[in-house]
Order: sequence, then structure tokens, then C-alpha cells
Amino acid sequence: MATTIVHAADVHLETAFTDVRGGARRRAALADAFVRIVDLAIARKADLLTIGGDLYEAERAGPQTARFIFAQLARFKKPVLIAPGNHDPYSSRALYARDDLPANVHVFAEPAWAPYAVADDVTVFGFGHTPGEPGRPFAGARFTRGGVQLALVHGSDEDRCPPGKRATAPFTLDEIRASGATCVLTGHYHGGAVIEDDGKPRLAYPGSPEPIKFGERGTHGAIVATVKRGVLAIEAIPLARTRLVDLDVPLADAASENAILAALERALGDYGRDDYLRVRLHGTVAPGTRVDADLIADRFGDLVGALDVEDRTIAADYAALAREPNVRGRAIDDLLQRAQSGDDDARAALRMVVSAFEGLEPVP
Amino acid sequence: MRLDTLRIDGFGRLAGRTFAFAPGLTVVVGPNEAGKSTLSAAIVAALYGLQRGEKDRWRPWTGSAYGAVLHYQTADGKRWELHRDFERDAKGVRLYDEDGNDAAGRAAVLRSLVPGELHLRVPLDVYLQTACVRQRAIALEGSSAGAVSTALAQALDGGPKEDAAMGALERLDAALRKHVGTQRAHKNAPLRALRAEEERRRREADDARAALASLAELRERIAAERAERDRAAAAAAGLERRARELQAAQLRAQLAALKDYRDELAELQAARAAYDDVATFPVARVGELEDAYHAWRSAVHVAEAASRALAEEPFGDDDLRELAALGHDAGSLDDDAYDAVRAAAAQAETAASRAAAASGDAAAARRDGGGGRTASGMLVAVALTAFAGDVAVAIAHLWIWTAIASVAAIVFGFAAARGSRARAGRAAEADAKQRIADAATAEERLAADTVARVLEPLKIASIDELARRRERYVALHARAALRAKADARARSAEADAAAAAERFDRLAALLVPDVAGTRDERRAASGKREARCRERDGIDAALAMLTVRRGTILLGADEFALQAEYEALVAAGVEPAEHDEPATLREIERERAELIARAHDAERRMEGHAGELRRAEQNVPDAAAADEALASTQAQIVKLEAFERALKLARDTVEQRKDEAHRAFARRLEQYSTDVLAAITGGRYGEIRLDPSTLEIRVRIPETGQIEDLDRLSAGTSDQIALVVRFATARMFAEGLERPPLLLDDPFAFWDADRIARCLPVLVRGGRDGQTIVFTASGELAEAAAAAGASRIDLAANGVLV
Repeated sequence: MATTIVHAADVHLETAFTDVRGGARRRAALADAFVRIVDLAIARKADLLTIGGDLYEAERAGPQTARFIFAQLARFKKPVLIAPGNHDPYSSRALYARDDLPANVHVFAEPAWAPYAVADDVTVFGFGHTPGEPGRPFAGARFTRGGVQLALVHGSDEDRCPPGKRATAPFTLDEIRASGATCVLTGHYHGGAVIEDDGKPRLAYPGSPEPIKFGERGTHGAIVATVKRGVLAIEAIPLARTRLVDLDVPLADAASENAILAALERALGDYGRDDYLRVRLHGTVAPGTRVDADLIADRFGDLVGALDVEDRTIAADYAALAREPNVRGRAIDDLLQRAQSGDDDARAALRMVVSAFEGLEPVP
Repeated sequence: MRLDTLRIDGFGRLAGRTFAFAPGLTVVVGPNEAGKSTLSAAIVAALYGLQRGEKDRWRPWTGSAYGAVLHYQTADGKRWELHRDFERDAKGVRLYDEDGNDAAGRAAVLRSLVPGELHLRVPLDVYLQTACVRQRAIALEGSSAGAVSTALAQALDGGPKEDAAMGALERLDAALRKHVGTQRAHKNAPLRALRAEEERRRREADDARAALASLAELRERIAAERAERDRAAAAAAGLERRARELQAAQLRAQLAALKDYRDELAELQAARAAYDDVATFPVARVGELEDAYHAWRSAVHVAEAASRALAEEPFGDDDLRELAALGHDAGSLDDDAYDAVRAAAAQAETAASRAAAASGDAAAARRDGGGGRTASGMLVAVALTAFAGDVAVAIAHLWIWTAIASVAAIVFGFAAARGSRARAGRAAEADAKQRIADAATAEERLAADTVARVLEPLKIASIDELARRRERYVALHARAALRAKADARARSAEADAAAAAERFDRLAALLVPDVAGTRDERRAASGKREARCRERDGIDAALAMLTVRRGTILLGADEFALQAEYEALVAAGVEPAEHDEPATLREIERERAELIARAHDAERRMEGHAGELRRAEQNVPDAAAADEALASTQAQIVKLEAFERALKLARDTVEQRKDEAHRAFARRLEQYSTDVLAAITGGRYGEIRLDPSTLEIRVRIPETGQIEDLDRLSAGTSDQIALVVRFATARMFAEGLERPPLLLDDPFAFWDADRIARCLPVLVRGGRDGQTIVFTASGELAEAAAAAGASRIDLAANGVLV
């Protein structure tokens, strides 16, 4: 008799998206993704649904969030195990502490390992976050119930921490091995990955079901863990429908706004309403050619989920202008040298000086 | 710019005259009041218009049309025809190009056309400062230095003939004002507005989070109240179990007590039935019976005692007769009279004693007085003897013995005198004592008479007899009185005993009518019945106490209800406690009541919080959207701050380079001036320094080798150098903008010929670089200039002179 577990994490319901517009639609997409996770668990006839933390953002989640989460978890009908993360730590004010929490939901409310027997040969050990940093969860942990021992915790694999990501409840593969855990079902890294150890899955990040931030690498979805005859198999199921894309659009000597819009139209042809783009225009445009980011966002905003435009075009041949024996030439020369050393303000100032000498008023 | 001709219809004193100007140096010569300054002003007015207050000043004297027509050409070779109607101010300007097209429309600066600004690219004050030299005002004025410097910097800007750097700075400033806002801006301050919006959005986001936190807090409170309620309810339930056990024990004890009560009641009721015989016994009157009995018994005892006393004190007839006899003598005196007689007798006895004593004293005194007379006589005899001897001795003339005898006579005489006086005193004392003795004797006699007057009628011999008889009388009289009193008491007691017996008998007939016998027997019977009544009352009291006890046991409940309650508890599985502990049960009930009250309070608070929560959940803010709005505003601020930084960087860079250009123009101007000055001064002054910001001129003095201010030089040299700088300035304009025609309004009016001669090469040289019009009253200068190739206009002549 096989035991099937669907594992998800980092849904981050009620996240505030500040990197690109369209936050409300992205929050709705996250909620839809959570529905799909439950759908997946039901479709796979899973025996257990596990949540590896950060199901919601504690500081923004209200009663509506609770009703939504509880309705979805109740819909699954079978046991749901939740190991709260650093964004949804267990406390008396957490949604998990509400008295209307569905009966099929079990929350690991302590930063200490607690067992939950799923089947005779399958045990899940859960470790929950509380508002304080929990330390190293696997330090000194020893799981001795036998059979397949799955650890459910929200934490950071120290060897694979993405750049800029804050580590929480850190651990290493060595610690996992020492604990006796067959595999860790975890969360925290939004890019999903299954790390194998000696040919067997040892650590599984499902990733957030939808991308949360630009630059996240890995899959976005859920994990289906199957234990059959004492053997664990893990399958990553992509669920994401949205994409976060940083797109560079070169403008080769665009001489008009129309040319810029045409280049953008070509570049955005492959993207749709579920795609959220940060477009960076670069290259040279003819002096005086207007690059209006707001106009571009308005023009293409309906075609994609959201569009933010960064204008890094060069409006003139600064090197040539810098050779002019006059005030403009000398000013541009000064700024060009600073821009080439990485001064973004100088780069923006270059455009302004050229515009101002061309009789145009610089605009933000 | 080069002026070709100026036709003046009317301007000040000039009217209907046309002046043609040479491309180089033109000298306009004429005496004072000939119109040189008027012509100069007309040129300026044609180019820039009349300024405030000038319209009336230059109104034509002759009443001719107030206007002029100026033909000129610009450095680009274009020719222009400018018509001025000074009466119409700015509206009276017409500018035609060489094809006759009206250029005013496209050349208008703002709403009015100013050809000077249009074609010279400098404002009026710069033109006046740089190219228009008035009388004795050759040096540049520091007050306009800024504008002049800017104009010169524009000329030196290197680009096309435009104010590129200044325009760029203006546009950068405008962008800063428009898109960022300045510190002092109130209306258009986008960055400040964004920061205010950020603050507002931050508050909204904080409020949203606080609202969510308050919801969580409410839920937390509800959970806490629920826990409190459950704790209190659980504790109350625990206490209830214990209370039911104790209650069962209490019921059990109550039922047992009731059983005891019933047994005791039956026993008492049976005992009570044995006292029916005294049911009507008036026990309340037993006390009266007792009182009557004791009164009777006491009276009988008193009568018996009185009878015994009479029997023990006999008073016979002899006693009666003796008492009667004594009553006639000693008994006849009342106590006062008897006491008075006794006192008189005692007084007489005392007076007799005193009389005897006084008589003795008087006799003794008289004896003492008789002895003294003898000694006194002896002394008198001696004294007389001594006196006689004295006489004799005197006769014998034995004077010493005479003296001795005299002294002796005197001494004895004096002693005899003293003895005589003492004897007289003792005689008086004896007389006094004798008088006392006499008085006492008299008193004795008076008292004795008083006694005698009492005793004699009674035929009693002495006072002692009277006393003896009186004592006997008193004793007999007392015994008689005592006997009478005992007799009276016996009779009274007998009467009282009879009355008490009657009363006793009456009460006994009421209380024990069925008992005969003595009073003691009847009394005893009454006492027995009274005792039975008391026993019966004791039983009744016990029955009453039982009634009270039943109430205490039942405590207002029904006996059957107690039984039913007990049976119900036992049926419900309650194990009665071993002991009935009412105090413990009461304490438990009190604690349980408190716990139930606490549970109710917690429930009530919980419901209150739940209601509050329901209301609060009706309007839950979208914290994520609020955070995104805040982040969006913050991103805009970051973007605008970056824009501001870049803008300021751009501006600072351009301005820095522009200032460098200023400094460069100053160096160029210095160079131009130095070249000319060296040429016209024969190399004496070869170095000029010009401050680009104040336009102050300094020059190196050959004698000191120092750079000095211009005012350290002579007036002529100073003017000469200033004129050189003027020409250099015009030349600078020619490089970048449009060289203005230089108008020199008789700057040499007060110069001597030598200074004029030294400046003439400057003029000639300047005329070669550009159009220069010199207005002068000096015929010598005009002739010299003409000799050097300058054109001449003689204002004295009426008409056009070329």
C-alpha cells in the first residue's frame, strides 16, 4: 500500500508585490495556485497534504485569508500538516490559532520536532516556527521511529542559499543525514529543487507555486512524495502560471517614438497576461527622441500582466559631443567620465545635459 | 550689427534729418546743444524702444511725428529696416527684412518686438554698459557686471550664436522646479508632495496592519476569555461533584436527624399525656398561696415571741406604785429641769472651791506685805543714821568721811525707797485675790439657792438623793414602756396571722379544693401540683425545641423532598461523603458560585469581543495593496530623487563649465585689451586684469611692477584703458554674438589735446574692428579722426552729411 503526500510551501498569500505593478492580480494568482495545490492533492488521492511554511504573510493576512485557506484545506478532507515558517509563525494571533481551523489540519506549533504517524511505515516529524528565530532545527535531532521518516520544516539549506536570501532555520545535508531523516520536505527557497543524496531524494523544496520575486531560479509548484514498500520517490509538479521576466530591448538608433514602440511590440510578442515584465530599453536613440515610459506602459500594459520600463537608452553620441570646444562639450565630457566609472546619476545627467542643450526640458 | 542710416522724423531737438553712418569710425561733431546726445539716444531708442520716463523727454520740440526709421545690417549679411512710432510705444515697431517682409511676427520676443535684443542678443542694460559710452563714463559699471559677464560668456560659448549654456541651465532649473520642486515652492513641489503622499500611504499601511493586528488581538482575547470560561466551568464542575457528595452526606445526615427527631417527639408526647391532671391547675397563683402561707407563718411567730417577752419581764403592782411615787418627785422633773439642777449643784461646788482658794491666796499675800515693812524701816534708820553721821563728820570737817557717809546715806535711802514700793504692790495683789474669793463665795451662794429652790418643794434633801431617785424612776419607766410595746406587737401579730390565714385558706380553696388538712398539708399539695406543672412545661419546651430542631434540620425544605433528593443523588451515582461537612459544603458552594459567575463573565466578555470582531471584520483593509501603494510611492520618490540628483549634477557640471567659460572670456578680454593697450601706450602698460564677476579693471604699473586698481592711475590713463576694454568687449561680442555699434557720446569732453591724441589711435583701431560712432564737440578730434579715415557728420549743418 503506497502512501502519497503532496507537499507545498511558500504560497505567500497576501504578499505585497513592490517590484512591478499588478500586485493584486499576482496575489490572486497565488490564491489560484493554492487552489491548484489542493486540486493536485485531491486528484492524486494523496493521503496527506503538507505545507512547509510561509503559507501566508502574517502581517497582512486577515479573516478573508483565513476563510480562504481553511476552506481549501477542509476541501481536502484528509490530514493536512503545517509547519509554520518565518512569514507565518505560530502564535496566539496566527491564523493557525483560530478556533475555526479545520479539524483535518494539524499545525506543528513548537520549534521542536514532533511526530505524526501517517502510516505504519511512514512518519512525518514537524518543526514549526514561532516569532523568534528557531536556530538550527536538525542540531541534535534524532528520528528513531523507523520506516520512512520525513522531516517537515521551513528552513535554509546552507549550501544552496540563493544570493540575497536571508537564511532561517539553517541546516546542512550532513545534519539531515545525522538526524536519521529519510528526506526533508521543506520550504523557504522560492525556486524549487530536489537534492539527492546517494541517489535518493534527501531534501525537497517545492518552490513557491508562483514566482514571488524576479530572478528566482528553479521550479515553481508542488511536490508529490510517494512511499511504496519503504521507498520514497519524489516528483516535482510545476504549477506556476505567471512568469516574472527581466527583458532587455535593444533600440538600434531609433529615431522616433514610433520606432521604439515597434521594437517593443516585437520584443513583447511572446508574452501574455500572466507575464510580468521589467523591460530595460538600451541602445542609442536619435537626439530628441522621446522615450516615455508611462506611454509605453499604457500601450502594452493590457497585453501583459504588468510592464515596468527602464529607459537606459543613449540619446546622442556622447563621445562626439564631449569633443566640442564649448560648455556643452566640456560638461558632457565630465559626465561621461563619471558615467563610465559606474555613476548612474552621471549617466542620467548626460541625457539631461544633451536634452537641455537641445532645447528640451528633461523629464523624470 | 552695422547701422546704415537713421532717419529721424522727430526726436527731441532733431526733426526731419537723416544720418548715414560709416561701417568703421564715424565722428559726429557739433557744439554743445547741437543734438549729439539726442542722436545717440535716438539710435538706442530705435533699437530698444523708449524706457520708462523717456517718452516725454524726447518728444519732438517742433511737433513733428515722433518716430524714426533705422536701416542696419547684421553680421549674417541681412539688411533690416526698422520703423519706430514712439507715440505707440511697443506697438509702434515695424521690422522689415531686405525683401520687405514684416519680420515682427516671427521675431517678437514674448509679446513685443525689441530689435536690439533680437539682433544683438543682449538686453538693453548690457548694450548700454558695453557699447554705449556716455560722457565721462567710459569705465564699465560694476552694478551691471553680472549681466555683462553673462552676455560675454554667451558670446564665448563656442556653439552657434545662442545662449546655449544659459538656456540649458534654465531648462535644467525649470525641470527641477517642475518635476522636483524647490525648497521654497508651495504649489508646485512634486517631491514634497510625494513625500507627503508617502507619509499618508505609510499611515494607511500602518493602519491596515494595525487593523489586522487588532482583529488578531480580538481573536486572542476571545480565545483567552474562552479558556477562562472553560477553566472556570471545569473547576465549577469539579466543585459540583464534591458538592453533590457533600450534599448527599448532608441529606443523609438530615434524614437521620429527622428520624431522631421523630423518635424523640413520640417519647415526649407520651410523657406529656401523663400531665393532664394539672392541665387546669392555676400554677400562676401558687406564688400568691406561698406568700399568704409565709405571711401567716411569720405573724404567728411574731405573736409567740411577744407573748414570750411579756412572760419573761414581769411588772408587778409594787413596781407600779413605786413608779407612781417617783413620778411625783424625781419623775416630775423633765429632763431639762433635772439637768439644770444638776448643773447648779455642780456650779455651787465649784464656786466654793474657788472661794476657798482665793481666800488662801489673799492671806498669803498679806503676810508677805508685813515682812517687807520691817526691812524697809531698817534701811530708813540706817539712812538716817548715815545722814546724821554725815552731818557730824561735816561739822568735823572730815570731808572724805563726809562723802562716804553721804554715799552710804544715799544708798540706804534708795534701798529703803525700793522696799517701800514692793510692799505696796504685794498689798494690792492681796486685795485683788480677796475680791475674787468674795465673788466666788457670792456665786456659791447663788447656786446653792437655786438648788435649794428645786429640792425643797420635792422634799428631797440633797442633789445626790435626787439623782438616785431619778435613776430609779427612769428604769421603772423604761420597763413599763417595753412591756407595753411587746403587748402591742403581740396583738398586731395575731391580727396579721388571722388575715394571712384567711387569705391562704381562700387561695387553697381555689388551688387545692380537693385537699383538706392543715395549711402545711394544703401547701404541700399545691407545691406538688406546681412541680408537675413545671415538669409538664419542661416537656412542652422540649417539644417546642423539637419543632425548632425540625426546622433546622429541614431548612425550609420538605421532608419528602429531602428524601427524594437524596435518593435521586444516590441513583445518579453520587457517593455520599463520609461525613456531613456543612461548612465545607458552603465554602464549596460559594467557590462554585464564584466560578460560575467568572465563567459567565468570561462568556459575556467573549460575546462582546465576538460582536466587536464581527463588526471589525466587515471592513478589513487590504494591507498588501496598502503596502504596494506605499512601495510605489517610495519608488517614485527614489526615481524622483535620482532625477533630482542627476539634474543637480547636470546643472552643477554645466554651471561649472559655464563659470570656466566666464573665466575664459575674462582672459580673452584681458588679452584683447592688453594687445591694444600695449600698442597705444608704446608698451608702457602691457598687462590688464579683469575680474569676470565685477568687471573691475586692474593693470600692472611699470614703476612698481604691481597689479593695481585703475583709480591709482591718472584720469586720462584710466579713461584710455577703459576705452580699450570697451573696444575689446565689442570685439568679444563679435566673436560669439553680434558686434554692437559702439556709441561714444563725447567721452573726451574734458580731455586735453594730449589725451585725445593718445586715444585717437584707439578709436581708429576700434573703427577698423567694427562700427564706432563718436559724438564730440571737439573740432580737433573730428579733424584728426577724419584725417585717420573716419567719416564725419557735422550736426551744425542742417541736412544730411555723409
